[in-house]
Amino acid sequence: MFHLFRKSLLSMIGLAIIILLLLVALFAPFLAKEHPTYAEVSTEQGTTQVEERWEIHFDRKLLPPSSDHFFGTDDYGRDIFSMIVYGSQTSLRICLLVIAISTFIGVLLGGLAGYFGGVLDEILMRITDVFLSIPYLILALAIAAALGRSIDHIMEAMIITWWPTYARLMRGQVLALREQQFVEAARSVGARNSRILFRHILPNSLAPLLVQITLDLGAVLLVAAGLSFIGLGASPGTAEWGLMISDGRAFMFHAWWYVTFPGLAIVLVVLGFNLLGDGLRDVTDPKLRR
Amino acid sequence: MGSFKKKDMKAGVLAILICAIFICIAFSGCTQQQQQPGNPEIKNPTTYVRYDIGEPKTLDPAEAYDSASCDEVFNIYDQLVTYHGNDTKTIYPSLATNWTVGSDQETWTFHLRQGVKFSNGDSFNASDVKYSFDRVLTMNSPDSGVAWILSQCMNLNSTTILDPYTVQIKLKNTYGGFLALMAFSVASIVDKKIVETNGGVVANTDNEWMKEHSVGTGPYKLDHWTHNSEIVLKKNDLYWGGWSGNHVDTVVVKTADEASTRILALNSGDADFAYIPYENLVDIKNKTGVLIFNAPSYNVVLGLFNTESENTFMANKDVRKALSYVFNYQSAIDDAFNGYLFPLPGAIPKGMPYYETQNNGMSVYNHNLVKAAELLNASGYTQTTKFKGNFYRFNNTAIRIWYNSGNAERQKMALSFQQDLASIGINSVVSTESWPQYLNRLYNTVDWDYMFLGWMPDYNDPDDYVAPFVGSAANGGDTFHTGWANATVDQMINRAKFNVSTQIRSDSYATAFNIYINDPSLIYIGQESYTRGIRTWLQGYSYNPCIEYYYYNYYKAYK
Amino acid sequence: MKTWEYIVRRLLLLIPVLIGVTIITFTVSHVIPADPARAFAGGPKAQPETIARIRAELHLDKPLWEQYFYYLNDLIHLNLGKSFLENRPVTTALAQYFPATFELTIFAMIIAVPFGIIGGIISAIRQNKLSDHITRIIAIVGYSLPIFWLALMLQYVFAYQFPIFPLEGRLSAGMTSPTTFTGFYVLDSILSGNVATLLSSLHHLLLPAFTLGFATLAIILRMMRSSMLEVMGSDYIRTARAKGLSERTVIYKHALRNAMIPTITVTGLAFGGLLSGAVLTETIFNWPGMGRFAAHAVLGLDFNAVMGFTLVVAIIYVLANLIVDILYAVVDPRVKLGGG
Repeated sequence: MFHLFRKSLLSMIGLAIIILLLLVALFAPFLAKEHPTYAEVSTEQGTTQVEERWEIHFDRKLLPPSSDHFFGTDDYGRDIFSMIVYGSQTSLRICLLVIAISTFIGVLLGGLAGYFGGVLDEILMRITDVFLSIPYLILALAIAAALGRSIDHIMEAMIITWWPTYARLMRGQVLALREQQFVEAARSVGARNSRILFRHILPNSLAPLLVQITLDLGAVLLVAAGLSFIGLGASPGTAEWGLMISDGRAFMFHAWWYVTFPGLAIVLVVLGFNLLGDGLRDVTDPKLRR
Repeated sequence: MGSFKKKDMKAGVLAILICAIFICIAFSGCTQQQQQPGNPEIKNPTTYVRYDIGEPKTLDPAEAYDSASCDEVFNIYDQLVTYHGNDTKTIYPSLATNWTVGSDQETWTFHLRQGVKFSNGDSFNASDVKYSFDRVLTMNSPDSGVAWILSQCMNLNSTTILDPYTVQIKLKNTYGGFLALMAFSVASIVDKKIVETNGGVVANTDNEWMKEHSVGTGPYKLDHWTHNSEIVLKKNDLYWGGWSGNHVDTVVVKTADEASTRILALNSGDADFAYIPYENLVDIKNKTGVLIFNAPSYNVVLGLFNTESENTFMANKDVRKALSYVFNYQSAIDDAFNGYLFPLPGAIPKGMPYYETQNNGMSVYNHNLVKAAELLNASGYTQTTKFKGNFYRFNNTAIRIWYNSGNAERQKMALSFQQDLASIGINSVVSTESWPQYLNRLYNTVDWDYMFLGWMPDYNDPDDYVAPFVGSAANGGDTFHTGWANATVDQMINRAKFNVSTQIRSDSYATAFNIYINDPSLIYIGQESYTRGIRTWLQGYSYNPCIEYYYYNYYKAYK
Repeated sequence: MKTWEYIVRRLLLLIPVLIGVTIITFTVSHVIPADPARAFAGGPKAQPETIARIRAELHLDKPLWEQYFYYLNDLIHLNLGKSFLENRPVTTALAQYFPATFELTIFAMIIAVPFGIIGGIISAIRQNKLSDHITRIIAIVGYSLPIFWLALMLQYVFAYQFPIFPLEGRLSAGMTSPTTFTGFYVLDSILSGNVATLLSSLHHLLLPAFTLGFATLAIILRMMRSSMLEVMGSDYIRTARAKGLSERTVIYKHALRNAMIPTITVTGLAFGGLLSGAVLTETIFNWPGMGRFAAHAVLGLDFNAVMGFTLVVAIIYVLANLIVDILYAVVDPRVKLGGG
């Protein structure tokens, strides 16, 4: 199956982009020219959180791209290239955490509802109905506005809006699978429900889940960037791609680099996830094989 | 494969047709954008177009308090007295031709202008004046609370009609700045007849009709108001000032929250006047036919200290003095406001009477980290706590700095302040939130150490600034909930408030200043420059902090 | 079950959904520590009596559940409260903004649907040829773009560097809107015979509609392509071909018909995405619609406005899904509404 994957040029490009992203995030301190400092501050809720601080140099503000500053500087004089490099860590963290937790919750609830059916299923359907009847951005907006402006909060908001999709997906898969013969067979030899779920149903539902996950990684990044752009996500001064575009908008006409490069970073990463996801879908969907 | 080429072609032709239509539409707009050499042709020669952010809340003078609303009220209605041009020192007659004040300092007599008509033909006389003032007091606008401006010295028994063109106002207490109050939009004269037919005056209730309709004696009347889009005024043919000479007939004020929109409108000539944020002035700087107008306004930028914070060091005056030395005033002017900010020595902005009582206008504090460190060390707040290789004061407690979201200038000042604080060993956290949350934090909690805020004038008298800023809460002041109070300062404020003598007022403000500047509850960051983009063809424009726009003076021509 | 029964049942289901939505947004916007009364009253200059009065008016001193019932009561009387940012009823604001967003969305669909379908067909027919690769790349880039970034780039290139399009708004400055019949400027211009506003409104629609529709175009294109490919490779089509039917009949009568089904589903679902995308697009193009209203309301914590538009959006979304399901049944006779 994987030889087919390798044959698709676009999927390979997608994979390459994602590997590049991982490398950049991993080796950020070596790639970037300027580095943020981290300070520990206590939040209103009583917890402590680590804040990213970048040094301000107003005398270097809004410089165009040059050999000193590959992508130019912003209106605080910070090097945009360095901020994009470190921003990859933030982006990666957001994508992975949101998807991992949403998938976990969604698969758990959807799987159980689909398998056991009945009242549990009805309740789940109604709940997901409610969540799915509000466009995700709007619900995420409302929740993020309520919880306060921070990356953690928009992640929470996104998880809340995202898990229903996985729940529905998993439920659909389970519904289709549980009537299959191999499940009947397992049941007739007296296998327990949990065994059936884990050893038979779950592995067979993986393929479409995996495709959805890969595609959603890109979607999460777009939503997170959108929320930061509007002003709900990253706190001011953080190097987050969506926030940088938002800050750069005011200077678009005489400092085009401020808006362009973070945008290109987002496009590249989302493209990578999408190409990868597409490739996976082509490979796992028997109907499309030619 | 040949037989379906026809349908394929049809689809293709359809696609090309749609594209062609779009391209035609695209270029149809092209012809409007050609640049002319020399002086660009004046667009809309008898219409003044302004692009601004936000929009008025109401057109009712008894309710209007925010500047966008007052802007239009000043052009639709008249007051008894007014200001002219950019003169903030002299009071000129408007609906009152002359006036006197009795020896008790409390009884004012106004003689009214005769032959004035409202825009609907009704005649103006003293009954409209009494009606207007009483209306403000009775209506007591629940939405804006603007009635206090009159109720601080007037009540329903104050205004009496001596004859159809003479009005007497007996104040309940002397007020040094009474004429300034009479020039403010809340003292606008409305048409008694029209208000009575449209809801009348109901105690403690706003009048819905007056919010969106207007009948005034002013030079313009409302044509239509499309919310969050535009408000259009047309000339009032019955205006008592007449229409000889040069005046625009139509006024269009457009709401455009995107800076880029306003920039483009100004540069293309679609807008005659636009609000451009400081960081974007470079986008209009050398454009043909556009100039940047700049003058000191009465809007001030302040940093607030919470002396009642759970971080008890904020109560210590030397700590606040030190913080006043940490703040980088020059950077605020150069970097946050792009040069468009004037230094502010104390509570009274430049242009207002008694400004010179503040160390002759020279700022006491400047950006001096050494001095700040000295003050802190002397008070025992040394750098003792180690964290990640640096030494911090206050046991590494972080000073909580807040600003309201969306405000780019305050964000710059906040982050810059944070960096400066860190350099002398003070940890801080910069946070931001939306306006209603911000207000809640400031007024209903003590969960902050330092916040940014601004203040705008109500009328042209220092009492409007000094009393709310440094007066104590018990004395009706401390509008910024700093928790600061000083009995002598309160005494001085009251002395200045209830006296008309310039000598007494000047001495009072000077004494107060010397006390509060050495125990600061606020950082006096600066006085905002009133900066706007204007087309060179706009004539007759002048800036007065008391009345932002006076459309009647404007006309479009090249000099 | 009969169509009417099905529709009524679906519409009745709207009620629990709406209650759920309102509870969520209500709780969320009311647990935030904020002082909307003071914000309504004018901020730092607000007088204490004004604030107290507004607070009582908004029932802010009552417990949360009681406030919710006041809210529900108002809702039944079609009163969505007052927006403090705009100082007018939320219903008035929504009534003004809804046609603007709807018009924008329709035009986004006008761009997305035909070009998406045609692109998908061409791509499928010419599979693996150059035109296929190009269209696929355009499509995949299309839904990888952050919509707000696309908007900014388009603005920069086509409204600033080469100014062939306007930067913002629905009409040129100084132009009054056409006589209001529907609130859709294009339709109203046609109905009132106003050529100037017709051209101007189309001119202003293009960039925002394209921005909004591009991602949907990409999705529709892909969906069309893959379902066409799927159908064209099926036994059903092979039989038709074997029967000797012309390629044209095969493609247009059979394959297209079957491929339309998932495409309609996607289009219907994309509608929801359009509403979300509208928030960002309208903000950048200063389009006076619900999206921009939503963004301002959320950032300014204008509670009533937030709850108002969330409600409206939820209703639209549910109705759109219903229409999609009905269309589905119309297009595919095998589908029976209500399960089967």
